[in-house]
Amino acid sequence: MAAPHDIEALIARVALGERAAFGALYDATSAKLMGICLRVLDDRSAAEDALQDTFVKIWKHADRYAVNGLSPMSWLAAIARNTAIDRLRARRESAGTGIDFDLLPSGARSPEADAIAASEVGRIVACLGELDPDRRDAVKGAYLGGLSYADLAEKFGVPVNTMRTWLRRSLLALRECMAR
Amino acid sequence: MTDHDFSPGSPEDDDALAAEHALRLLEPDAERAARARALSDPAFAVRVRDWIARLAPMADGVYPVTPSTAVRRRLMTRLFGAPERGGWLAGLRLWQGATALALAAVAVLGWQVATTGRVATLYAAELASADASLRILAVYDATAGIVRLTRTDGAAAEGRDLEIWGIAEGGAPVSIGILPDDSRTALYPVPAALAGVPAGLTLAISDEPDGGSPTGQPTGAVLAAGAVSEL
Repeated sequence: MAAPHDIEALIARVALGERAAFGALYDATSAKLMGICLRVLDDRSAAEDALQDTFVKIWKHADRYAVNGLSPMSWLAAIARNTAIDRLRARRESAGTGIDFDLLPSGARSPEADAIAASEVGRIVACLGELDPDRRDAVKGAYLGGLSYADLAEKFGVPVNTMRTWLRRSLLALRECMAR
Repeated sequence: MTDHDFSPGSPEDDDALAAEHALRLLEPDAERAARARALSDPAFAVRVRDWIARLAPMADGVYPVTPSTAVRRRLMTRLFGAPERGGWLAGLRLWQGATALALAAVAVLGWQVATTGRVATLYAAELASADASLRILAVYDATAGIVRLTRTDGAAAEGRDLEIWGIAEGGAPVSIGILPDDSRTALYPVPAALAGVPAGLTLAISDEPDGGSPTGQPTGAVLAAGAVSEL
């Protein structure tokens, strides 16, 4: 996997409309993003469609990366994950609304953002380890599987409000753990 | 663990909502409301962004899965337009740079006579891209069964390779080889499928992944082509 600053440089060139950089970005990151789409969709053909949609968005919105304050792979992975989830939910209900990256504010460098970006990769894994197994599985089910509150409630056999309380407490515990 | 107070409008409630939105936990109505709020409330948008950043390393354990080559091709076609119809060479200008060929031929003939004392039957083509940024001279020695390629201008893009194909009239492309990154000249044996087909043979260059096409046919753009002519 190419180094983050290489990915960042490619995104900057894609933002300028450079097709060769876009091809290189695809070659460097498509396997990882395909893996993410496949975790959510669990269907090769649907995942490839989501991957294609993902890269179309990357081509169109590369100019917004610089104002997001996310690391390059976080930004790419978030687009892939959201695109896959949109596709997953479109199968079942009226079209889902994905996070629109228009809404992330400009001038987004902040002490919190820098601290998050600098924190070790292992932090969230360690902090997840501090949760009860059920809670941990619920967080992972949401993130990696694209499951909603309703999906998780059904999966764990609890009312939606109970799942909501479980997850809210777990997410805030995660935040506190990662801030230590 | 401290008992959290999620009373509506409290900072903890806001942050929990931001986390739920980043995770896509919310049902459609609630998701639409959260999205609308993020558009009008920059502080909330920052909370959402921070949660996206916090959770992102959870994807680190996801195994990479290489998509099929068709995905890349369909993507590029969708964004940048379809390659022209009519086969591999439609729309490409076939170059015949007489002066360059003559020079190349003299060099090759001289080498042939010097090494073997025998004059070979030679065919040549000049391949150039539309903007002439990529130019390759090809000399096809039908007697020895060798193609000599000289890259005079241009090179493969980073992480990509240039692959040379021979196309008999009406036939499918046959791979001759991949141009080396570290040398301007290379020799290749003529594939059996192309032996004895010099008249009407076209040589073409395509842009391929590192290591060449994985499928045995061009997967990337055909950058240049040239018909061989006898020297």
